[in-house]
This record gives sequence, C-alpha cells and structure tokens, in this order.
Amino acid sequence: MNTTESICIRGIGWLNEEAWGRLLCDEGETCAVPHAALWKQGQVLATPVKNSGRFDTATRLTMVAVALALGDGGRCGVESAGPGTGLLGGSRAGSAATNRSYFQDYLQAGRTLARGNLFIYTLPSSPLAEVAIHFGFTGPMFYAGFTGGAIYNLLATARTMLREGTPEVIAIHAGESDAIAFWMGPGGAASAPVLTLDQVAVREEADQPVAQLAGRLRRALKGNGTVCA
Amino acid sequence: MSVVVVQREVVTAWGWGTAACWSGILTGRPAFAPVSRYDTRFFQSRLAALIPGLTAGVEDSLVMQMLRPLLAPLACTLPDDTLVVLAATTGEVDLLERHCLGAAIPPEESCLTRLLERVTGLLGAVDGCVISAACVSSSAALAHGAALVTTGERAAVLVVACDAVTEFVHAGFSSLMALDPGGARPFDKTRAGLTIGEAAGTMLLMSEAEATRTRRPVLGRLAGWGLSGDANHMTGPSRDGSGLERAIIQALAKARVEPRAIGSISAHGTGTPYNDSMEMKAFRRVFAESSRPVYSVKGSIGHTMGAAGLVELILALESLKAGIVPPSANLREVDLEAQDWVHGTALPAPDMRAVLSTNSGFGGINSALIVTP
Repeated sequence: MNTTESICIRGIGWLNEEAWGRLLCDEGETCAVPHAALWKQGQVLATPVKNSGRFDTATRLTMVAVALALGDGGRCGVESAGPGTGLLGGSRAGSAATNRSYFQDYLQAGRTLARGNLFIYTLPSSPLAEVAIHFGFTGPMFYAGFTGGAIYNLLATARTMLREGTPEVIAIHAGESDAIAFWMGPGGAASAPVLTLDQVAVREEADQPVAQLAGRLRRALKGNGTVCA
Repeated sequence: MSVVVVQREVVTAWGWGTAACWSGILTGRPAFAPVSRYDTRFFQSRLAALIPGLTAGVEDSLVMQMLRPLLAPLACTLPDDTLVVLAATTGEVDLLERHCLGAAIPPEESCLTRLLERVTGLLGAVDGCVISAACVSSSAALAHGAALVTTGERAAVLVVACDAVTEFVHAGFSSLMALDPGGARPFDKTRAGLTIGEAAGTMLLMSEAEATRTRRPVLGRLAGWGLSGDANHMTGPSRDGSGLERAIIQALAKARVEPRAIGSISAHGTGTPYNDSMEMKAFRRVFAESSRPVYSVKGSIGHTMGAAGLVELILALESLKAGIVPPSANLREVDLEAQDWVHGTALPAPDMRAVLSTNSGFGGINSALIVTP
C-alpha cells in the first residue's frame, strides 16, 4: 500500500459528546451533546429528517457528521449533494449496541414479538442508508470494519472506491459517542486540500478518540497551508 | 486487468460442497424444514433452510461451525499478500443471544470485527476487513475485492461469506411480516414472502497474471460489477427498479458487454411481492430487446442474507460450466410480470457465455455481478 499517495478532501466534520467542528473552515465550538443540539432544523440539516424519532445514537452521529463535512466543503442542504455519492462507514463495534437493545427488548416481550423498527437498525449499514435517503445519495454504500488502523483503512477503502469511478465518497468513522466524516473526491479540485494517507492516520494505530484525530488533522492541514481563515 | 476466480466452495441447506448445492438446486425443490433450534410458535413462519449437522449453544458459534471446515484447506495455500474480506450481516449474533440469556459470553464476542479476527487467525492471514451491506454484503465484498485486483492494490483477495439462521433474525423478519408461512416462492403469482436460510462460502479472486504465475486453475471470470443505492426507503426497494437498473448498467459497462451477451440472470428473487416485481421491471428495461431466462435459488436454499451474493455467484459459475439454467425453485404459477422470463424447470443453454447475478438489500442497496467462463 502506497502511503504517500494522495487523498483529496473536500470537507471534514466531527463531533463528540461535548464539541463539534468543521476542519477545513476551522470552525467549531463546545456544547453539550452536539448531536442533539445541532439536530435542530437549520443548524446543520437544512430540511427535516424523516423518521428521525426512531434513529439510534449511531445514526444520529453519522447524520450530523456527514452534514458537518458537507457544510465544511461549502455545501449545505439536501439539494446540493452529488447524487452518485458513495458512503462508507466504519466502526469497531458495528451495530453491537443496537443489536443488544433489539434482542433485550424481544426477550422482555416474552420472545413472542420483536420490534421491526429496532430490527432494521441491527445492520451496520443502516445509519448509512438513512444518510443516503436524506441526502439522496445513490452511489455504493457499505460498512467496512478492520482489525487495526480503522481510520487509515477506511480512507484507503474510500480511495479505492474513487479510483473505481464513484464520483465522491463520504467516509464516516463512528464510535458510541463520537463520529468523524471525510468528504472525499478525486484529485484536481483547486480548493480541496490534498493530504497523503499517512498524514491523516497511522496504519497500525488502534482507534483513537475523534477529538484527538481532529487535532492532528488540524495541524496537518495548517502545515499544508490550506486551511481557510 | 482481468479478475479470475481460482477457488470457490460453499455449504448450504443442501449440504457441504458446491456439487451438493448444485445438485439440490437442479431439483427445483425447497430445502426448507421446521426450525427446532428455538421456539417459532409466534413467528409468521416456522420454516428455514438449515445446514444439516449444525448445533446451537456449543462453544463454536453457528457460523464458525460452517467456516472451520471451509477455511481449513485454504490455510496454507493462500498467496502471502492475500487480503481476506469477510462478508456478513449478523455473523455470530447467536453469541449475543446467549449473552442476553445469561451465558458468560462477553457481548463484544459477537461483533463482526471479532469474527474477522477469528477468520484471519484460522487462515494465518495478516490483512483483513469485514464488509456489511445488508443482503448485498458478499456481492459488495466481491465487487470491492475485484476493484482491489484491477487497480493493482492486491494480487489476490479471498472473500469469505457467512450468516446463520438465528432467533434474532427470524424474529426480526417475522416482525416485518416478510415471511411466507408456506415457504418462499420467488416470482410466483401468489408469493407471500421470504424464507430465511443459512450458508457460508469462499471465493478466491486473482488477476489473471497472478493465476498464471501461481499455476492456479481458472474457474471463471468476474467480468463486471456495479453497486448503487435507491435512496428511497429502509426496507422497501424503489418500486421502479431504477437503482438496480443503474447497478446492472455499471456491471455491463465494466464487463464491456451488451445486454444481449447475457445468457441468464440469477435474480435476488426473495419471494416478497415488492422485491420480485422491482427486479422484473429493471430486467425488462435493461433487456428490452428480448427476454432472458431468470431464476432465483431462494425458493430452494432460502435467503442466506450476507452470504447470498457469493453463494449465488458460485451457482452462476456452475450454471455456465454445465450449460444449464437452473429452475427457479418452488415455483407453482409464474407471475404475469415474470412470464416468458422465469421458468420452473431447468433449461439447456450450451452457448451461454455470461450470467448476471443481482442482489438488493435493506436500505436500498443494489448489486450486479457478471461472470463469464
């Protein structure tokens, strides 16, 4: 794997339980439970999200991270996203938390009736599907998990998707309480920073908190002299 | 750069091995049986397509019982740089069931990344990833693996796919009213839902140059692939089939073939009213010039979820080798939308040179794969 090859980033959005940020525009703030605070219409999501009342935390985090990344790249609102955009999601735990909630709920019902609304989120790809529905993304979409170097391998996988011809890819890494989304495109866009894969993540590194990764990326972007004022 | 298949194997409700599965498929009969692993009294259907000999509640999860015999012969034979791509939806979720029922099994043991560690450990492989995309999981894994080979990032990719019949999944599909109480009858006029099944499979992809260099027999070519999303609904497909149509067109373009080159279509064909109708709409638009034989194996081996794409592609390769289009299983009376396309009997096709295999999944994910000899 050529770690010096470039990835072209159009926007990066991240959030955890106490802060959120858009990295290229160097914006952000601390606030309590950003995925709830930012959910209010108009803040990062220009239009209401259908069925959001049934979303689990992973789906909310993913949705907000994607909206922040698109906003970071100057695109806000459902109508301005590229339709063929692909989605790639990664996390160590996948849908483990939702799986547990679903099955425990089923047991509490006496093992007679499961809830369909919980069952449909017991797939690691479900948060991506909700994002695709809201933003109208019709490109390829899948969850990818790795034994090590989650962010590194996630971005390398996204790069393969771009090489294959997917016009844009949004790669999202989500934990139980944080998420970061990278909006990526093929090289050549004049205003989009270009980083090497090993500037973004270390291949063998175990999962690190998103806020820590965001700090490293902020430094890498400033080093390239491409962060907006 | 050509992507070739140099190894494949499968286990399904028809038993162990590709030959057993192919023979079972040719009967056109269902391999369904009432489930005894858990209580199904309150479910919409008691039936599933179960692999003989698997035992719930022992040390190995159900999918590990499938995978150990499949992976053992591969352990010392993979090229050094092989990337292992695991495909599954729920994987070892039976371990989570047991945790929730009080067993001393940590819940994280059921995570897909943990299963990946077990699989790479069995194979002695260093590099691996797990791909999950609902019922398109193994098709997406095959497409990604093929992309890695054609871009030169990997000389070899081993796709391993698996999913088991569990109370977790059976209860879920029942809650969505998606099961046919009498067993799935894809493309049938009175079809009423799917039947879940379990399966596991392996497929080793290489560049043709690598296959030649390592003197491996070429079993077929993965000539084209396409992935798309409907962006429509979490469980229902786009009614007009436009998402699937796009995936098929991508695959045809990648394979550099016209629609008329496709000899037959292995459809996703779950047996649900909406899925089968959606697929026929897509097929009729892409193959507007003339009908193609379409079949589904899910009326025989059930809907094997994350393993479906890989299992069905293996059967498509067998179909090419034998020059036979298998019957669409468990068909009684073909739906009007599928008339002249779907048949309940095997058809001779000695001149067939390409098979299209399609799958669709929750969230509106679609895949199309094309194999040639």
